[in-house]
Amino acid sequence: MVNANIQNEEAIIVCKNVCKWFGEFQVLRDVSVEVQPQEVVVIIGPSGSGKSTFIRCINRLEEHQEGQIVVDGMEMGHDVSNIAAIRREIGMVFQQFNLFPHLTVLQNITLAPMRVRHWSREKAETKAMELLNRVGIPEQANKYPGQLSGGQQQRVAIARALAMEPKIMLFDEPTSALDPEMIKEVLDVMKELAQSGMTMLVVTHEMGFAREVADRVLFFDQGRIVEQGTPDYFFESAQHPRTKLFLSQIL
Amino acid sequence: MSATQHQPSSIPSFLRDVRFLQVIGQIVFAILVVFVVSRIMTDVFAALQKNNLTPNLAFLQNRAGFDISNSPSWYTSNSSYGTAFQVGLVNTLRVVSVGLVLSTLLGILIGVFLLSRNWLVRTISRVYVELLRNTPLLLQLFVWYFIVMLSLPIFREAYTFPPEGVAHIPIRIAFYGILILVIWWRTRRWEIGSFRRNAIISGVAAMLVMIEIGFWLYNNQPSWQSVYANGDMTSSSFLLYAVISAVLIVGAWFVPIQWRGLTLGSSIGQAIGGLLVYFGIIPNSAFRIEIYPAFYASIRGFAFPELLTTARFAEWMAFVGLGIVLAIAQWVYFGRITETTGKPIPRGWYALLAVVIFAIVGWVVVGSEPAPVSIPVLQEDQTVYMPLEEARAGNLLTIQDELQYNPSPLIFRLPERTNFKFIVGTEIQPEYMALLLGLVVYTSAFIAEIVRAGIQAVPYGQLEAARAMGLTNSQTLRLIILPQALRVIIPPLGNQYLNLSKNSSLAIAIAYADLFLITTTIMNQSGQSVTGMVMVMLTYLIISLIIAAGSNWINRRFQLVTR
Amino acid sequence: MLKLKRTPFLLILLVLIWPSLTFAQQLIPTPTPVPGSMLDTVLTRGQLICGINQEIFGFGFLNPNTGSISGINIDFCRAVATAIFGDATAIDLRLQTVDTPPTALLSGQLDVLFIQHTAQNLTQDAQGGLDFGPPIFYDGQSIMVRTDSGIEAWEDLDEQTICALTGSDDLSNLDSAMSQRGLNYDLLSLDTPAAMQEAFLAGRCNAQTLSRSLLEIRRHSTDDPSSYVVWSEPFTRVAIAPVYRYGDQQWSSIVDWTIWGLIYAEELGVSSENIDEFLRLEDETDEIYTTRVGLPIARLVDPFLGLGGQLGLANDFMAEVIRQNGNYGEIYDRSLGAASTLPIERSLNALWSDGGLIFSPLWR
Repeated sequence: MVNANIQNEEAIIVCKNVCKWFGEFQVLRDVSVEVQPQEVVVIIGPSGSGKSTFIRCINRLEEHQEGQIVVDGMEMGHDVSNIAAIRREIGMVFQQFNLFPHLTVLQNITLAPMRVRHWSREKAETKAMELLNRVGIPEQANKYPGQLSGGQQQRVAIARALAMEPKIMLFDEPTSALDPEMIKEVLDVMKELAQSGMTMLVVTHEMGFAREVADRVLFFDQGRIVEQGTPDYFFESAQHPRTKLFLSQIL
Repeated sequence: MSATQHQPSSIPSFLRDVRFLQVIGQIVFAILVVFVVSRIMTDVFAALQKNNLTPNLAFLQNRAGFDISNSPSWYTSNSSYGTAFQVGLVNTLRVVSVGLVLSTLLGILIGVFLLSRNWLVRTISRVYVELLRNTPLLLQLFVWYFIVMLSLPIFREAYTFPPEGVAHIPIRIAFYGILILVIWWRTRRWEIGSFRRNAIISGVAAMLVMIEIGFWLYNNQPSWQSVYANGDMTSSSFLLYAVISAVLIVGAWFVPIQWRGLTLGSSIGQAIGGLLVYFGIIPNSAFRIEIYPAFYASIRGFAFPELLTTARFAEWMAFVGLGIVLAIAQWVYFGRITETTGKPIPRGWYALLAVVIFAIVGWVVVGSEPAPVSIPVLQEDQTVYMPLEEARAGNLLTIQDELQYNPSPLIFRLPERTNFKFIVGTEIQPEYMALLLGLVVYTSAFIAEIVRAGIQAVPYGQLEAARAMGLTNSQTLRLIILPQALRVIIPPLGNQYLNLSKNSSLAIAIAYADLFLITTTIMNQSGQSVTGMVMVMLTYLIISLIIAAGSNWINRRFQLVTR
Repeated sequence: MLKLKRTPFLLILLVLIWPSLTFAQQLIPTPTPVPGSMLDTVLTRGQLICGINQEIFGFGFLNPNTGSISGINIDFCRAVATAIFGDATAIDLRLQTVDTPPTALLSGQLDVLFIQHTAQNLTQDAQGGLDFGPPIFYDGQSIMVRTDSGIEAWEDLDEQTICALTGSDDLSNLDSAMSQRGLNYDLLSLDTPAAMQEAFLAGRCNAQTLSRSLLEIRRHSTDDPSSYVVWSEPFTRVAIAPVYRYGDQQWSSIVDWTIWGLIYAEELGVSSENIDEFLRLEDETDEIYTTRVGLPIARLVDPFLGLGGQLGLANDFMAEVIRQNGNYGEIYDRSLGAASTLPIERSLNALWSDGGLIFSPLWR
């Protein structure tokens, strides 16, 4: 098993022996990962392997029961102010977009910067328009999410997450709910983001994306990291039988 | 070419035109309706005419000749039927308007409870909803009136709250309050379970317990009378106590580390508490407070304190109004600042503060205006002039005098009663209370379900997205959940409001003099049943239409824009 | 062009009008007079059809436990049957609801109505169709209070709460009684007598008002009747009397004189116990007989001197009526008086000679 070059001092996310149970069922078993700044980590694995649960533990949408998660030097525990501070630094994109249907695109994006970061409306809107330009849909600013296509909605969701100027972006199967012809436009935005130096954790089934963009690939199975490595290593010479089986089914 | 040729119909083409047929259908229907209605009207009028009961509105001018329970001052049995009808309308509106507000508040509360993570709260509220939704309202009203209200004690033995009497509040309670507040403020950021936190909390607790034990013994056990404020450091019992305390404190160092904070804190705390009592540093005196009941409940009704507006109320309201204007201006101004700089300002609190400050200043200013040196009062059928204070001391002031000359804008008066009625206080009839409670509790069960469904209709992902963005719980509720839930909640909520207003006519079963009860009496006495029925129907129709219009208006504001 | 939007409005109108139609139907009585003599019709049928009520104890009450029906209304009905057939059981009792005017009587389904609720009034008479016999019970609105309340006269009711029935005439009667005396009161109007009783017993009101007879019945249905008092002097006047169709002189006389006969019998001291003493012995001449019992009694019960023939009945029809049903006093005692579970003082219903209002015209 190859260990990617991990430097403890610089790691922006440190997970040590993270365990989580849903009732009797253990979803995460001693998961230990360190993520460096600007690193793009792609997490793959069969469904139910705990990969979504894992990244949701990082911003505490799910609560881990054992182990330690440290984000940007702050421990994710029961401390309310820590949780709030960590969430400010992490942006998240969901499979179902989760845009707020009662707010316009612009309001969706400016909500958190104004309410959480206390920016002026002017600053928040300038930032929002800049981001909408970046994801390629500035003309949709004053529409409601219900009036956009799936791909456009997901791009708004990415812009919304970026508006908080996070240090880390979490992507939870961002393309799974999209029609095939819209997947590319979202992946393009994500690639551009990766190239700009954003720290990203991506749960996805898009192997092409993983191969092209990832610095490191983690393979989850039954709540464990079974194997990890660079894309080249992972897709060419994976060792573990579970990994091989999975790759043979998916490729 | 198909084998069967399409045969041109023998019916003329305009008779086969869908548009023409629709128009014809409507005309036929309209003629039918007009015919039936006019036929019925003719028959009804003929039958009524025969009995000298031609429907008309002239009878509304006739003397009613019956009393109405708890009627307003503008109604007596000499008033007209029309006035009686107005009393009924006012009574109905009185119960419906209060009922709408209360059932909404209670319904929202129970609806949130239905979604609680606490099993007990969730189950109790579920039982509440199911029990009330699935039993007839009439039955519930009977229970509220005949079982709950009619089992209240008779007038002379009314329940009172707080019970009349004298309370002694020890001065040291204030000291406790300040101490606990200071400790909470100092330790609020300390780590839970840490040594110093355990030590200080257990220490304060032990000290307070020790002081209380000391005072209890001093006040109740004659043999301990000498202890309080004795301060003699040479007595053998003091020395024994000092030694035991010292041993406890020293001994605390030897307990395991996780218990050390607790033991050390409590042994030091109890020693301090004991010494404070021994040296008399904590006073044993108490405030004596006379308590008069503010609330009475008996089978004749409920009585509350009353708030009366005096002649100076208008002046004071001018101040308050000024405060409100300023508060609004402030609100807008701070809102702009927040928009442009992003700086969060608690503008709601500032607005409240502005109103409160103006109210207080206005109260002082208005209250300190010079009163007339002497006022005219009636003494032994003679008008004499004397100062306000003297007249009040001589018990010569009527309530009108009091309202005219009292310097404060508002007078607050506790209920006062004679042997069989209240002479001061706001009264609520048991019939009103039973109807209000019945309607509110029944409707709240339905509203609770609507609120629960509305909140559940907001996808969980919305909550997660809001959390992931770092919004606080209250922001999430206010900005994300509620606007979306309301859109689902409002249309059925409007229906429940309609139900409540119509259900209020069940008042007749529990003797509350509402619109329907009074009209029943009017119809019986005047014989004008048809007119009465139509009047009641139209009134309820208007009330319903107003409620429906209101809920539609609100509903339009919450509709979502979609593709 | 007629727009579709109009139709809901018309429908609303229709819905508003519909209930009035049902009202109208109730208001239109359809009198269908029965041709020929009522007496013949009844005799042919072999039974007298009486309209009664069955829920007022002492007047017309069906005992749910025994299934037997009793009360003065029933007894007077039996008396009329006895007058015609000589048999008190030749009756067919029909339960009557409270509707006014009594449509069943007007349409000929009933021969006579002995009922609590239908009282004589001018409108009723003017509209025709109905006629009223002699009162069998003088009633009126009265007041019931707790014995320990100290309320004994109208003045004591000042500033008190009084319960009354919603929509009834009791409300205005009470109001005029109170306002005439310049008294204030607090009214609580309840929907049913049962609800009113409950509110009164719980102490919600200090007094309740209803007809005296009903109040007495309610008083006796409490756990301790002695802790309540019903004022024995009603402040309105209502007479409970038999009702029959207008127009058959013979029939109305039969009903009237049967009732008067019972009253006269009480006045003369003739009862079901001693009736045989007043009958003519086999060998007695008119002179000996009338000297023994007196002419009035002879006119009431004698087969030769009796007057019944003029009504188309047996001359001595009252003998059998008294034997089987007792005189007025006996009937009263049985249902409402000393022998019943609810003694209601006779007061107004005492004989004229005892200071009451009950008397019979001359038997001549």
